[in-house]
Amino acid sequence: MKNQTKIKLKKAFNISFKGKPSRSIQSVEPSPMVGVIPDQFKFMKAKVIVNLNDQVKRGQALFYDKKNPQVYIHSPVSGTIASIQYGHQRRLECIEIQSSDKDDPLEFQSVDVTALSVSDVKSVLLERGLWPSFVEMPFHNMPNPNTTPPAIIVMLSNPEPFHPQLSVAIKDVEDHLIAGIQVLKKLTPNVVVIVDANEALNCDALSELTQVVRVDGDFSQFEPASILYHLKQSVDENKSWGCDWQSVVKIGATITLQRYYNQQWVSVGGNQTKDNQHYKVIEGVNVAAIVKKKNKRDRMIFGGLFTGLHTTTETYLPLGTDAINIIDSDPQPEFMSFVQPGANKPSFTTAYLSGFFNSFKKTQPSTALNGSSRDCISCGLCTDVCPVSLLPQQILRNVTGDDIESGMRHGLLDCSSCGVCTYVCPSKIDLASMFTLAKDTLYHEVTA
Amino acid sequence: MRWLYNQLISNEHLFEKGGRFERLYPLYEAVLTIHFSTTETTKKGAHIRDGLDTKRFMILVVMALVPVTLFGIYNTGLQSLLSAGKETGMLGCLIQGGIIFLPILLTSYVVGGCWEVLFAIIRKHEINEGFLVTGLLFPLTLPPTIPLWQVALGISFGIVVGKEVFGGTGKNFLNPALTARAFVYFSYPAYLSGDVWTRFVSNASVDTYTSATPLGIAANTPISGHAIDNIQSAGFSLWDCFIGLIPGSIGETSVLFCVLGAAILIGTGIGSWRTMVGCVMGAVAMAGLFNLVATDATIAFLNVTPVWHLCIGSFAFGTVFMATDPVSAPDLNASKWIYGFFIGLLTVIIRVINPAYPEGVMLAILLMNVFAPLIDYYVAEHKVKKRIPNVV
Repeated sequence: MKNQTKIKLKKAFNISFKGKPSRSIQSVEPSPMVGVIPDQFKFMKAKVIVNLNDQVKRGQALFYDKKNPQVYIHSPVSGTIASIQYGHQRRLECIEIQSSDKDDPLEFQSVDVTALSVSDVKSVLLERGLWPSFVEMPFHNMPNPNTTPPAIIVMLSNPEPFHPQLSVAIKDVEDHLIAGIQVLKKLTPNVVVIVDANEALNCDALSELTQVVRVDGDFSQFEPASILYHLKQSVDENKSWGCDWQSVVKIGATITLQRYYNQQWVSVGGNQTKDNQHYKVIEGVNVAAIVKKKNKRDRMIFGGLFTGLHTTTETYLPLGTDAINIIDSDPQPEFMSFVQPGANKPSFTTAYLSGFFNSFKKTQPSTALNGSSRDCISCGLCTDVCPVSLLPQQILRNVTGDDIESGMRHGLLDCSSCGVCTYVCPSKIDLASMFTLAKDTLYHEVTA
Repeated sequence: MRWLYNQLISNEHLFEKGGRFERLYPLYEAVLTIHFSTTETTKKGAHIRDGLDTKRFMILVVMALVPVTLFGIYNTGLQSLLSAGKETGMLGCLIQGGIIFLPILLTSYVVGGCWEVLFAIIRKHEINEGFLVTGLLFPLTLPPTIPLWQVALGISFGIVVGKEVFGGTGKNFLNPALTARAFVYFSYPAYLSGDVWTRFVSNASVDTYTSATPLGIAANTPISGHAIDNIQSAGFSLWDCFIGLIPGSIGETSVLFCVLGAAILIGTGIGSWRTMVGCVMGAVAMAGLFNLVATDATIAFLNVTPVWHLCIGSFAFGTVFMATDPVSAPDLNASKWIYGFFIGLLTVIIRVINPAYPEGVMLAILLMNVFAPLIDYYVAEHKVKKRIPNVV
C-alpha cells in the first residue's frame, strides 16, 4: 500500500447504458485467416516489407512507419501473406494472412530487464514490435523512439462504457502486467497507474512497484490526456505517454515468454443478444468468429461508442481495438417528437421526461443524430461536461476562425478527444472532431 | 402519419441540389423537421448523440411562456372589460383578450416568419426555430394598444437588424425580441411611454383608455412624496402586482406566472438559474442601497423597497425570459452571475434615476447583451491563467 493515492473528480457526465458486456470470458478459436489493419494508429504511413505469398512467422515484421522508420508492426500469426490491400493514395488498409496449421513463432533473446539501460529497453521494445503500444500526448501520435517520456500513464480502467475490464482477466495476466510495468519503469521512473476507484481490483502488488492513483470520476475522465490534465504539475509533463493495460500485458508477456504475444481481450457491447461478454482472441481475428450482427442495418463500431472507428469493412478486428459495439442504426421518423414528453428519449439533460431518471439503462444506444445541424446557441452544455475543463464554445470560435494560437492558449491541446462535447451538443456540432482535426493539422505543421 | 411522411420524402428530390425548387430547400427542411424527427445518423465523431436538439430547446421556452401568455390574454381582456364597465367573466375576459392579443401575435409570427424564410433562402441556411420564441416574446412585451403596423415594423427590425444581418440565430449579440421592442419604444414613444395601457372595447368614442402603471406612478411621485403609498392609493397592492391583475404590457404583469415559467426553464435545464438569481441579487442590492441613501430631499422613487422593485414593471418577465436567452447572454457560468447582477443593478438605476424611462429592464438587458462578450473575455482569461500552458 506504499504508493496508492485517490483523487475525486467532478462527475458531470455520469450516465450508464443498456447493453453492458457480462463478466464472463469466452475463448475464441483462432480463425484460419487473420487481417492486420492499422487504422487505430494515428498518423502512421505504412511501408510494407513483405510480398504476396511470403511465408511469415509469428512476430515477424510486416511493415514499418515511414514517419518513425524504426517502428515495425509484427505479424500476429505464422502463415502466408494472402493479400495486401491498399486504399486511397496507397494507404495500407489490410494485410490478410492465411495462418498455417503449425504455430511457428520467432524466438526472441532472453533479457534481464533489471540490467537494461534506457536505450536497451527501447531497442528491445522496437525489435519485438511493442513500440505501437504507446501514444504520445498531446497529439496522440506514436512517440518517436529517440524521445524519452517525462511520465507514462497506464490506464487499467476504461475511458468508455462497454470496454473490457481488467478485473475480469486479471487472474491470467497479473504476472505479465507486473513484468510490463517493470519494463516501463526502465523508460521513466514516473509510471503512474490509473484505476477506477469503483473497480474491484487489488493493486497492492502494483503499488509496491510504482505510483497507483485511484480515480473517482465519470468514464470520459479515463482518457490518458484527461488524467494527465488533472495530475500534471508542470509544462514538462505535457508530452507524457499513455498506455492501456492490454499493451502493458503484451509488453510483459512478449519479453518474459520470448515470443510475440498475440492474445488480447475484446468486449462486445450494445448488441441486444447474449453475445455481450468478454472474449479472449488473437490479434487481427476474423470478427465473424466473435459476433454477428442480429440486424443488417445495425452499426458495428470498433472501439467505444464515443471514439470508435467509422469503418465500412467489418471483417477483421483492427489492431489495438479492444471493444466491438453493435448499436441500432435505423432511426424511424417520429411525429412531432419535440413536443412529446419523451419518457423513452435518451437524454443526458432534463429537457425530456427521461432525463429525470437514467433512461440510458433502459434504451438501446442508437446512431440517430436526434436533430438537425444548427449554429451554436451558446447553451454551455459542452463546458459543463468537458473532462479537462475546456471552454469548447470558445475554442470552436478560435478553430473555425483559424486562430489556433488562441485555441491553444485556451487549452486545445489538453483536449482528450473523448467526444462527450459532441454527444451533448443540441446544435449537433461535432466539436470533438473539429478539435481533433485542428490538432492533427498542427501536428503535421510541427513535424513537417 | 406515415402517408404524410412518405409524401414529404418522395418529393425531397425536388428540393435537393439540382432539383426544381432547390432554392426553397430551407422551407422544405423546416416543414419536414417540424413534423417528423430526422432519420439522419452520425457520420463521424461520437457514434451516439443526445436526444436534445435546438427544436426541443426552443419549444421548451415556448412551453414555459404558455402560462404567462394565457394569463396575459385573460388580464388584457379583464382590464379592457373593466375599463368599459362591463361584466368580467372568465370566458368573456379570455375572448376579449384573445381578440386583442391574437392579431398582434399573428402579425408578429407572419411578418417575422417571412423575414426568417427570406433570409434562410438567400443565405442558404436552415430556418431556425429560435424564431418561435422571438415571435412570441415580442408581442408579450407590448401594450394591448399597439397598432399592428408598429408590431410588423418592430418585429422586422428585431429579426433583420437584431439577428439576421449578423448571420442568424447563434450569431446575434442582442436579444432580437428586445431589439424589436426597443425599436418601437424609441420610434413611437407615445405608444409605449408607460402610461397608455388599456385597449378599450369598441363602440366608444375613444379607442383607448389611459391609466398609469405602478412604475409610472412611482416615477412621477414628487420629491418628499411616498412612492409606495402613491402606488397603493392608486389601487395597486403588492399582492395585485405579484398576481398581475393590473394594467400593463400583455405578458409582463404577473410575477407569479413568470416564476412558474422560471420553474419550467430551470427544471428542464434550459434557462440559466445563475442569470436569474444574479438579476434578483443585483436588483435587491441596488434598491437596498438606494433605500439607504434616500432622504426627504431625494427622488421619491429611491424609497421603493426591493420587494416592490421585484414585483412591479416587467422585471420578472425580463429576468426569466429575456436575460436567459443563451445566445445573447455570456457563455460561461461565472460570467452569467456577473451579467445577471448587472442587469438587476442597471434596471433599478434606470428606473429610479431616469424618470423618462420608467421601464429599465429592457435597456438594462440590451446594455448587458453588449457587454456579455467582454465579461466572457475576462472570465476566460482568468481561467486560462489557472491552466498549465500546453502549447507548441
